Amino acid sequence: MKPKLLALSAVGVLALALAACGEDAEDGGASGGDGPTVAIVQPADGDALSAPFAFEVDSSEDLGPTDTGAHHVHLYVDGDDSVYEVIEAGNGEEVEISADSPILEGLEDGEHTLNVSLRHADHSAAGAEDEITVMFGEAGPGNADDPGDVGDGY
Amino acid sequence: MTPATSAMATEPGRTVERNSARARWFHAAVYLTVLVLMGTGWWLTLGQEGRPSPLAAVTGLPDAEIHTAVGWALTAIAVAGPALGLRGAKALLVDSARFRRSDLHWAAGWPKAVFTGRFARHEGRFDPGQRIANLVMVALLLALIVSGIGLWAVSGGPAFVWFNRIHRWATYAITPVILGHILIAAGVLPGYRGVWRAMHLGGRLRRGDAARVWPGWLERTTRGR
Repeated sequence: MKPKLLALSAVGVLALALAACGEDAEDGGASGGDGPTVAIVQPADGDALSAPFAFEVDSSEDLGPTDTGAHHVHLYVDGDDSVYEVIEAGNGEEVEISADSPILEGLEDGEHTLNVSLRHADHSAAGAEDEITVMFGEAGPGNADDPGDVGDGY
Repeated sequence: MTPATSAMATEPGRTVERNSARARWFHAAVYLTVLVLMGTGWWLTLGQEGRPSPLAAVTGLPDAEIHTAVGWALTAIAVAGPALGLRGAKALLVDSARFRRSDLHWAAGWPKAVFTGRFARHEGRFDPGQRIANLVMVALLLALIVSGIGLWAVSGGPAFVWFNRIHRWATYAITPVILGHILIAAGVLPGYRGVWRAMHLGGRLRRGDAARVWPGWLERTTRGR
């Protein structure tokens, strides 16, 4: 292959890289329309929580481990999506968010936003998000009103 | 570095240039990106996803995003490097793929020579172990780059599962090779003392070190000087 052709290939790869950077912005819009959806089922908006607590999402997509190629959900707090819990189950199946979850590390008591973002298997945004406001604190009852709280066994 | 060793490191008569500046910059760009990719990749593989690695904590970006972005950087380097240095890339592959019967003698004495420095003679630009490592690293890095682009392109689904398997197994295979390469190239082992200079700073190493590790190459390089 001629050097010029290889150089053109390099430019093409860089263009693809730029396209990759733009992908999230295009995909990351609000839920709705005909696109995929995700919604927090529990806890409910306004709940008081303490770790561990039960968490459940509902999505239009099948959820599963990334190595199966299925979608999954990133759960994070106060809009900081650099620290998150990977949720690989939902649609009727709840998971436990334990006290050692990265999203709870250093979290101060008080009102916080729980965010979820539906993700492709490669972790890129699939274009569906949801959020609720909850109250974290030692005195919080968890989602004790939920008899299925997976934290009961601890 | 003392003035005496500094003078020795740069004195042309006692040292020999092993790699050009272009080759050294290419090598540095590859290993810096590969080290970041190995670090973030293993962080995610070991179940730390969502918990920022030290690099993610510093940059404020999730490890998965760092891994993807740096993967594109490695792809660009892997394409641009050979494009700008076609002759060097061809020489690397040709010299790495050329084996002789006498290399078996070198291989038989290698485990001991790593500690004593008394390697059997070989004629290659690279020693036989280095040649195997070169070919394995090039093949596995290509597999990682292609499967990484595949993971990005399909995002999920059945094809993702296969790209993920290739990416994962190529990672398992290349990790010990790279760690071994670093151990040898760092010059920690007595037999390879001083070879780190071949790819760093001025790319010049002591003639004695070159004669011990690459005797045939040294003779061809310095013939008539």
